[in-house]
Amino acid sequence: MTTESEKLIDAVVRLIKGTQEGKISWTVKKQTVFPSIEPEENEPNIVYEAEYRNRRLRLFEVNNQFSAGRRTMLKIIDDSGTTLWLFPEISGLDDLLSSVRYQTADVKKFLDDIIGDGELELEHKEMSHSR
Amino acid sequence: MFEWLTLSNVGNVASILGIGLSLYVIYNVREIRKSYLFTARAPALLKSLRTHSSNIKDLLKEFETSIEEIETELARCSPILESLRRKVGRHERRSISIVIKQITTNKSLSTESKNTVWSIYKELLKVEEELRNLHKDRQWER
Repeated sequence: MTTESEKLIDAVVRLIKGTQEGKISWTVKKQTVFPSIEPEENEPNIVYEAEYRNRRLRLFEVNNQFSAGRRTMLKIIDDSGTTLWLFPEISGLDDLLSSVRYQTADVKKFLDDIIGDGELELEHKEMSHSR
Repeated sequence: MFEWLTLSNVGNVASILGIGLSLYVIYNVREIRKSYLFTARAPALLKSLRTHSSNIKDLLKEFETSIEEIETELARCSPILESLRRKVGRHERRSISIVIKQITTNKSLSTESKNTVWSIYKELLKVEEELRNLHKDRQWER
């Protein structure tokens, strides 16, 4: 029998997979944030958003209220940015965030650019000759 | 009725009850020992498991060229999971055993195994979640 948390983990893993395979595209969104009465509602200035099956997802990291460290939060929001549903704290959300950051920073292309950079390769050869 | 109530019979019943009680105490002592061991060791073991499963997720980006590294990461997960299995109850032990079995049967991966690795990663997350919750519960039981 699949429990609710197992279902949520399944969903998060699918989001990670979709993100890593480029099937889900995330964008960085900068927003003006006003402090909220509810600490849970406080969002950082920079969040990540994606459209998935006509739902808008928002992902971000906040300081954990109850313990040291950070907590990753995933929400379903409407067009105006109002929270429709907040995912509970579940394993895998921090992995999703790291995959989203990797995608939005276009790290893969950056690494390929460095590796394919002829000038840097030349400098490397010069360095090995000078040894 | 009172004929049965001899000193010898009462002694026999007391012995049997004594054996039962001893077994119950032994079981409880073992459970308490396991519980304390889990409470003490779980944070470090779960942190280590977190690192390896996160590495697996990263390596899945370039699966074809990372097969050996993924095999290594999975091999590193096994002793951590074995260690956790010895410190938990029957229910959690079952979930851990499922992942260990999955890792053991997929010791050597091929280019076709990408979905299998995703499945193992998912099971690792489920184990993490279950054990993290158990650890929180145990902190309240102290």
